Amino acid sequence: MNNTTPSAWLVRFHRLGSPPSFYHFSGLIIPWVSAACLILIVAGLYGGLYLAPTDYQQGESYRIIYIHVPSAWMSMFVYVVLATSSAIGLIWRMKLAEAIARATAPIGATYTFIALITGSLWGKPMWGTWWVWDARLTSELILLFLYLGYIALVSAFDDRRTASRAGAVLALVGVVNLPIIHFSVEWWNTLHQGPTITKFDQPSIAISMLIPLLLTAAGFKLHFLVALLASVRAEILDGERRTAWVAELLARKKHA
Amino acid sequence: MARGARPGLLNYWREKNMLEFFQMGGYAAYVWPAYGITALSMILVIAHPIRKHKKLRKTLSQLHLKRNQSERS
Repeated sequence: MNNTTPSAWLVRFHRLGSPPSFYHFSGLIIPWVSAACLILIVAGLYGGLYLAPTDYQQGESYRIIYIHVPSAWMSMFVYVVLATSSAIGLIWRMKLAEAIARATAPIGATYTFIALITGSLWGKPMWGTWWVWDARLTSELILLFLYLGYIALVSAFDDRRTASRAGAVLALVGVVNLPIIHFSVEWWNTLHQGPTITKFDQPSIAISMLIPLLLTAAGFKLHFLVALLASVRAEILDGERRTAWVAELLARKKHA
Repeated sequence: MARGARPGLLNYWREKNMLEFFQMGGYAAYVWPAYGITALSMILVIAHPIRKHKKLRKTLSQLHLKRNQSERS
């Protein structure tokens, strides 16, 4: 068949970059991705909260890891998406990339907030304090401020495109914080434990604890995808409200 | 972390009862709020754009309808 050749797929992928295609496509896949996300998180939590054994040093308190680590990973991953789409928007003036950048910021801020709160709730029983001003915690807090700063800056402009361009510059400057967060536990003396999973040698975590963590981490990735698609859809509809395809969409809805 | 985690996984969770599960070995006051806040935040971050989209779509179709009517009259 004609429409299954590689070049046809490429054309199809390219078309996804246009707002109307993205709008329709995201509407189609959101329910499926949500279902997969829910299954992964439920399975991961069942494994993590119920099946996985107690930690020999930290007792049951370590079970916060199943949300703390995935949200901390996502807080950085989402920033990479924000910076990348900002760069694409800045260079090629691609509307969809700008919409994605604007949509990612509140989601990234949410993961950063979760990582900080769950870390604090884990730190209190283990370290005896809710908060310390050490490198890992401080750089993660700076990440939260970068997200919030981006959101504030973007909402200060009336013109969507100017806002995106200004935000993009901030997002790109903030990239310097990412390696600082990642290597902070190695560069400085810190209360925060070193990397357990993302080491090049064997991860120092039991397999029965690792599998649930990877499941919730995958679930968090899909959660991000759902949140992103849902908010880009709202953004697109808002930005394109005066276009012909939206008028057509609304008309079709009324007749149906 | 746990290199020395208990090997008898099956035995372990057979022994464990529900009450013990919710007590989280005395760490319930930390573990459950952490999960609660996470769940709430993750639900809100999806519910918010969906609600926004729904509302916008409703407003736009009302506008669209009104414009059509005024064009006709």
